[in-house]
Amino acid sequence: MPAAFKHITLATLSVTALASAAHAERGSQGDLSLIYWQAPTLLNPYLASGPKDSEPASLVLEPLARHDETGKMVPWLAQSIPTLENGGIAPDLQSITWILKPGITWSDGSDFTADDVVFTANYCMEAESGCQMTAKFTDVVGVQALDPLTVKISFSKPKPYPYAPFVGLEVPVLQAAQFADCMGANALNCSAQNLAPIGTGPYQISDFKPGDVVTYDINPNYRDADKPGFAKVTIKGGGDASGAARAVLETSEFDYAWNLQLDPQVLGQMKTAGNGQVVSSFGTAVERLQVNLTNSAADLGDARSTRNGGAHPFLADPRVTKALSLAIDRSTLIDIAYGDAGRPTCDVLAAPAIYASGANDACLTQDLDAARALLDEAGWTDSDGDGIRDKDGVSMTMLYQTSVNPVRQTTQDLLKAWWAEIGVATELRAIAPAVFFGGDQSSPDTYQKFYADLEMFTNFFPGNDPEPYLNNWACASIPTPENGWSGMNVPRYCDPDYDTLLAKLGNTVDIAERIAISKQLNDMLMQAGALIPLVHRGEVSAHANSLEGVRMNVWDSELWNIADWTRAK
Amino acid sequence: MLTYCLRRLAFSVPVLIFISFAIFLLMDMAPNDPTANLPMSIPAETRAQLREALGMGDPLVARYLLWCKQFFIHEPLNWLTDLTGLSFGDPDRLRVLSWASRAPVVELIAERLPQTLWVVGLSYLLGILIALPVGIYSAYRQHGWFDHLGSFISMIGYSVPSFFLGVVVIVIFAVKLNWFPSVYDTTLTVTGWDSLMDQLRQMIMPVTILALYNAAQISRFMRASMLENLHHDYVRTARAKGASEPRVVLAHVARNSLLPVVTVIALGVPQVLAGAIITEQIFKINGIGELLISSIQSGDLPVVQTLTFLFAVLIVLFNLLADIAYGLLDPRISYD
Repeated sequence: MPAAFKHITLATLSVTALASAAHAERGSQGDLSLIYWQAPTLLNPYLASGPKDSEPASLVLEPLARHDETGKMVPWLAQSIPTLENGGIAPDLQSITWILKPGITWSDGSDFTADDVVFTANYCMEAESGCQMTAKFTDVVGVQALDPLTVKISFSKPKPYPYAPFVGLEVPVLQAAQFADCMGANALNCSAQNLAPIGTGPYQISDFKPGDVVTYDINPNYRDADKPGFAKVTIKGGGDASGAARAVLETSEFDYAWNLQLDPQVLGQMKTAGNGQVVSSFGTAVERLQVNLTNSAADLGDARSTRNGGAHPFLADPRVTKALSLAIDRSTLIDIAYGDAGRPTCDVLAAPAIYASGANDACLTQDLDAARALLDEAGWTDSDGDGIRDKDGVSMTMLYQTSVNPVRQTTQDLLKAWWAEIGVATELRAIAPAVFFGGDQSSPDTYQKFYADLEMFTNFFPGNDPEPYLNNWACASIPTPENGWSGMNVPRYCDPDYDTLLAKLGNTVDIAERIAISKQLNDMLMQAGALIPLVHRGEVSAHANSLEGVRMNVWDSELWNIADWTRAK
Repeated sequence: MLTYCLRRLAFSVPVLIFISFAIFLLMDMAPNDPTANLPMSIPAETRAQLREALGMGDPLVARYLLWCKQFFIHEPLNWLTDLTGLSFGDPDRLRVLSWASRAPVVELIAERLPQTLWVVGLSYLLGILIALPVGIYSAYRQHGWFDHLGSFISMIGYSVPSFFLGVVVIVIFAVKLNWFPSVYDTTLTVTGWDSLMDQLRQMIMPVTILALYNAAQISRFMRASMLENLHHDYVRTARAKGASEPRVVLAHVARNSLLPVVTVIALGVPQVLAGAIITEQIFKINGIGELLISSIQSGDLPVVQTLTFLFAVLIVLFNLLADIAYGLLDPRISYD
């Protein structure tokens, strides 16, 4: 073969294969392997069942804006974040207008336009589609493409925080052409599309075995010619958290392991092998005790655990819940059960930092004497000498339930021992997660029916606007038999002042004022004793020492900046 | 023989239909919610809509008949289409879809089958190959040192659970010595010498552990059966006729002793295909067993229903095979 001809052939090959040979950086870092022990089963975040699916999808599908590792919004497929100042948000707060970055193409080479964004919104808002992100489109009345690069989202009422649609990993843009036949009831049957969506991200899916492994190669049309660094990515699923941690920290078979909530001693010992490091990041998740402010006695029948059944014999008294909270040594609890994955907190709204109240921090130090004094003051003394406080023939014995999970059972044991020291008896119950968190109307064991005195689980809010989260404790959100036990106001807390303040938050635009109101709402909940926050929970992952560029991010996908990851030489 | 097989197969059809309905009923009665694993930030209305979209609101009988239609009519038609390239009926007919992955259940199973067959199947074969000679020799030299050693090792295989043994071998051979990988790579395709070695390296730990367990079980059966036969009159007759010891032991005693062991082996095969749930989990093999357990955890009823039904089919089928093998091994048994 003549040298010149050979040269031309090679040049053509490289043009078709990659963007151009001049950008030597792209794909120069070799292969990257990640382990997600909860295996991804579906790569369409609108139908997915949580981060185990939406994070692997985030290599391919991208939203208009993301959150960086500090929780700040950064434009992604949009040119900039729309604000009131730059005119992106209408003065009446009823619409937001996003300008897309020009020149972006899908991995199949077609243009990414405003029509794709409009399509995605309609796709999710269509009834019967089984879309799980409908809450992100609350109050959206219309999404229009003003021109190929401009999208206007209109709301039915003023939205002080209009950044729910298309911001963050759960609400990326789907390709209209690919999903055209998947509207409404067809959405759930589009196997091929849901398992291999076409995206604008740095990678495209080359093979996906649901529940087992995803492999990716570089999106040849990715907008940054120098990125991504790694040529091939593999996300392997299966096993358990300790096996995943071992594969990164001890045997170095993998570069990155996700979601390692493990016994701190186990993780600490694995770290000593010196092959990798553990990274953590704190979002809004708080492990808390929900206090049943209503009476859960079984003999109340249908009125059990409802406001009609009357107040709880002792937990409705804020002095009692305060005493229970003071008896807990949160630092010890974290040392034993959470390690790097927890920080003590006394606020249910513990993050972002600007929203943390701090007014309730007295509970951070355990004070058994103060707790005993509070119970004495409330009139609960051990009059019959059985070691358990009582009043008017009622003994302070509580049923404390949670889901089956080793960390939660350790926590239950510790709390039971501390409460025994102040003369409160506790009966423990652990329920299978699929039942406890399930919506089975016939089961008496769901967290919403709450046929117990205390229960424990974690809740959080995505993004960084706490308004929908604080809405959880409005009177209207109390689960009752009438509303089919739906609603997140599990403590059955109802205070008209709280509802009034909540309504005010919904109409406030000024960020400083929103922060002040949010803190005040948090403090009202804490002082009423509706919730006892225990641990501000972080996400823990591990990566190999040789992997560079990881910016652990709890506000968005942990893999949000994977295009920048490199291998240390 | 053929009429016997056909009669047995015909009998098994109503049995299997009854089993499939029983499984469906049991699944329906169990407290279960596929939306339970969703993040808490997803509101109740969305969950209700999703359950509706999955068809959970339909009456039990309608859901059962739909599954039957999809599994007994649509799936075989699709299979025929794939096999012959001809099209049969409506190409858009609905298949049995998993709730968790929205992928056809049959394809999920097909993806999981290779690794299960490689690891669990190979360990079963290996287990049998070890167990039979060990069982025969242990019985022949009962109370000898080999018998004691064999008993000791099979007791370990029996009594030490694989979730303990598995972690121990991972810590020794993967973490400390770094000889074998601790995670099974299902994307590996054997194309040459190197990839074959990689495949062997990743299989050696799970296969050894499972083979030990299988060998322990089967060798105990073989030994017991041999001991029973060794003292029969026909053995004395054979010896008196001047048959050599190997001939007495192998051709006479072992052949007769195999009868009950064949049943045990045949009935163990469906368990092989069901995967070794714990071992698969420990070595991250993601075979059939892992598919079953993860589907149970996520409330993925179509997958659990289909898998459980397939296991039932296998058990019925291998019962029949065991009976046929009986006839082949023992001329006294005739089905005609």
